[in-house]
Order: sequence, then structure tokens, then C-alpha cells
Amino acid sequence: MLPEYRKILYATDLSENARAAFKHAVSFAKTYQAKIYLVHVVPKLVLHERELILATSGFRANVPDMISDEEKMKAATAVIIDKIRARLKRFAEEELGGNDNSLDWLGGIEVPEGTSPTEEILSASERLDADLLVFGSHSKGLLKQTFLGSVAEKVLERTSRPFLVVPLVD
Amino acid sequence: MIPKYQTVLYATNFEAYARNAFRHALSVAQHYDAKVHVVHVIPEIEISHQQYVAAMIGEERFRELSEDSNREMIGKLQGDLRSFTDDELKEHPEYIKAVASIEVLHGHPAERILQRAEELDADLLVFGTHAQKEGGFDFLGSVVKRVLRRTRRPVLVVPVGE
Repeated sequence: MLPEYRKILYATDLSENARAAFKHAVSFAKTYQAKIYLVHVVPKLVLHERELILATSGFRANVPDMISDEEKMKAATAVIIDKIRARLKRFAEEELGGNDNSLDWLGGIEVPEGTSPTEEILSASERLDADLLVFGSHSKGLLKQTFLGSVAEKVLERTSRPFLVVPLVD
Repeated sequence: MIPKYQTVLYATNFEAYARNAFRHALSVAQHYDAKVHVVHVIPEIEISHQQYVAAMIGEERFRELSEDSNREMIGKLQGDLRSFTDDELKEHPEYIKAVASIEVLHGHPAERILQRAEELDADLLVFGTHAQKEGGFDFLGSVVKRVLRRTRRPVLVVPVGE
């Protein structure tokens, strides 16, 4: 039996140039009828940083100041997820043709919070039981060498799951 | 535009874990209707050593031996693919037809793989990696790591536990 991919973990730092790697993840998802689980590790933000995220999303306009700090932390996470989802919609419209914005290949968006992205991505891959991990790697410099991101490189050294590395060509 | 793979370069070696990586290469070929090029690189002995051996046994004999060993290696690869087909593709032996070529190359493995990828204009490279005994984690083979640092092509790495 040849392997089939069902659950694709796509790890992203949300930088704009990650799009090239994401296209490959979507290609696999559509070809194998697999689901993509987007994992974005959120740094440990302090409350006022979370409030900034809330403020720029118009959250403050709708909800008065009476909610607790804990609720604000949760609300900021929800805003991050909404922003990612909006980006994915835009991606789908631009790359998959106007009528294909259903995101039916999207299994979920995970935004674990942590100080070690490597640990968070590894544990997400276990939790999801992902059968393919997809990463972008950075291409930079005059020598036109590609460099694995440090997080990608650490994950690759420690995972026993197949992974696809997509160099980001500028 | 969403990428579609057409030309897969599968870099092999003769260890058990390579079979798992080959399964993945063939799965991609099947799903995308792509061709797989099997490449095996024999690390070249140092040029000064080659010259020494050639001087000792005679250049012609040296060349003959090299050609023999190439043929032997290709024969072994073909045998491997046949037993793979018998063992794993019982219901779909035609899947093996995705294999467009089998080649044995000599030289620095990462260099040769990168060069071959250029020549074929491969849109996906597939590798297996070693499993590390201690600690239970896999680590990237040094060849794979070198290729990852230098290629601008997508690379699928298949780590295999013991």
C-alpha cells in the first residue's frame, strides 16, 4: 500500500513570503483530499500587547472595558484566529480562482501560545497525528543560498513524520 | 497557481528505510501522474586515491572494474524495484511504470543530486533519512541537510524509525 496523506500540518510564522510553501500544502491537500491544520505559534504576549491586538481589530468598540483580563487574553486569541482565517480566504480567492473560496481543505487553525515554537509544533503534530508537515525555508543573501528557518530545522531533527520543505524563492 | 508535480527525483541508498521513502515518491507520482527518476550516488573515492589504484592495476582494468560495478549497481536497483513491486504493489503492479529512469552516479552525493535535479528540472526531491538509535529521534542525514541548504526545489523528507 502506498501512503496517503490525510492530515497536513502547515507551520507558519505568518510572514507574507510563506505563501509559496502554503501553495504546496494546498496542492497536497487538494490532490489527496487531505485537511490542512495551520499551526501558528503565538509568542507569550503580555496583557497590554493583547490589548493592542484587540484595539486594532475594533474589538474595543463593541465590548466595554468590563471584561476580565482573562477574557481579554482569550478575545485576543480569537482575533488572531479571525485574522488568519481572513488571510486564508484571500489566499483562496487569489490562488484557487474566484469561486473556490470554500476552504473545504482547512481542517483547523491552531494558535498555541508558547516560548518554544519547536516544542509547540512537535506537540501539535502529535496531537493531530499529522502525516505530513509542511514548512517554508528562507532564501536570502547574495549567495542565493537557502536557509532552513531555525524552527524548521529543529523540528526536522526531531520528528519521525514525513515533511516537505519548500524553499522560498524571491 | 497551485503547483503540480511532474518530475520527482528520488535519491536512494540501499538501506531498509529507503523503501519507505520510495513509497512516498510513488504515492506522489500516482496522485499527480508524475514520473519518478531513481538516482543512486556512489561517493567517489578521492581523486589521488583513484589515480593510485589505477596506476597499480592499470587504467584499463580500473575502467572495466568501474563499469562492472555500475552495471552491478543498476542491476541491484532494478532487482529492488522488482521485489518492491512484488511485495507492495500486488494489486497495482502498473504503478511501478511511473519510474522513468534508474541511474547510478559517482561523486559527492549532495552535489550530484543537486546537479541531476537541475538537469531533470525536478519539481520535487524525495529522500529517506536515518533513524538515530539514542534518544529515539530521527535526524537529518548530512546529505539531505546539504541539499536543503542549497536547493530552490521542494524537498520531501521521509524519516524512518528503526
